[in-house]
Amino acid sequence: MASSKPVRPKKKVKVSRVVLFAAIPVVLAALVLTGFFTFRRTLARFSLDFYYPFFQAVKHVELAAARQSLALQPRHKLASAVEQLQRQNALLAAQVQRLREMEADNERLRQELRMPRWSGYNEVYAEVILRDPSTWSEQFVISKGLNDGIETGDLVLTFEFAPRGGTPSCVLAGRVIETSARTSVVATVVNPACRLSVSLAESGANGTLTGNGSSSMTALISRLPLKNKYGIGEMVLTSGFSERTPRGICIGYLTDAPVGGSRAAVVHDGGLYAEAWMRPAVSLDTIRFVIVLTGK
Amino acid sequence: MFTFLYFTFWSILLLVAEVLLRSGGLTIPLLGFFFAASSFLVSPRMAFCFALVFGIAMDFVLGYAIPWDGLLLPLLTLPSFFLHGKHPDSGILEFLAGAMIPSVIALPHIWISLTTPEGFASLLMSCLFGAFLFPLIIALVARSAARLEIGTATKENGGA
Repeated sequence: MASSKPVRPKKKVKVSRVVLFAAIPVVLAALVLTGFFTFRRTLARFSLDFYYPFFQAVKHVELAAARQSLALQPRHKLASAVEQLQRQNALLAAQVQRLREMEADNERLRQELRMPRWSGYNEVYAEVILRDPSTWSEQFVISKGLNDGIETGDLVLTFEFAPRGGTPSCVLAGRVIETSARTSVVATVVNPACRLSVSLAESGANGTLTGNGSSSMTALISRLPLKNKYGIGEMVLTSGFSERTPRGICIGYLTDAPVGGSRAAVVHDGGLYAEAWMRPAVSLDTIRFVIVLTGK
Repeated sequence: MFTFLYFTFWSILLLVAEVLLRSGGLTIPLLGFFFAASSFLVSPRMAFCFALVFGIAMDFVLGYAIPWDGLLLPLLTLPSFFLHGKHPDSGILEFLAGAMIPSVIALPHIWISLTTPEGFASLLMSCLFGAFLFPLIIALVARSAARLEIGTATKENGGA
């Protein structure tokens, strides 16, 4: 008589238990990361706001000294400077008037075409209060923050003064990457943390701009179409694809590749896209005052 | 409590001074000097904790995503744990330590920007300033701690 061993039924591992065991580490990791980033952001905001009065006090003294030193200038020099500023003011007032008319026209046309209303931007004027020598051209701290409506991702503009007293034009300096109540950290266009959608003025091609670091003082524009031709010196503008980014602000010009200066401005990225290097339109080392474009 | 207030006062003051010097283009690790000196002369544990907190605070004030100073400043207080509060009273050694501290603090900055000659010149300048400034900061910390009757040196002499 053959003895038959009782066949044990195979234990079925419940799928829900496996999922549970897999989910616990993922949830824990997510919680730890969230906690770390929240702690980091809170401490960063606290540090920036705590020290703000100290840094601002020093800036006030600096500004007061600069004002007093202005009084030491000869009168004829001051008079000519005032005359030049009045001329610039008149030119700017005329431009503002023309732009207001265009804005009203734009608004009317949008209403007729039943397009969504364009909210526009507010301009916040700020001063650079802190820089670090090791990241001098890559980032700086400005004197305005959340209290003035500035948010992470807002664009930061600076001025490029035209020669012989012409009207100054605004160019893009960077983007806000961190904000506290009264200060903001700005990453310039050469900072790898600054990424923007851009378009080229002559070829009309669109690409993505990423900072390449202060050692080369350039930024890389990737994902450019292969079919276009790009020349050194071509102007790079904001594309306006994002709600926070108005179209047509000058950022810089196409330049030689930072490694191996004899190389052409454009190289092919795996045969699918082209890449080009850009140098900023302004000297990022000497920026003192900026305008932040905030959403209305 | 008194030691805590002492550290808080000097840390806040020196952080402001260091950040303002950096904004002027000069990297002089005043906080590093203070924590290195106070770890021997006042309290190694408290110097370590304050170095950690104020290092991170400085990184955030300057907008760094990675808290380099928060990691490197506490390193300067570690020798005092091994030497158990005994500090060599030698001017040349202080001079050399003063020249070395900026290079420890500047490690990440070297990594970031020493590709340019300006970065190297800046580091040399910091070492030079540090060599002369560190003995002065040691004297300042020793004198102020002795006046306030806090620190390891005072305890060794039977003080509070």
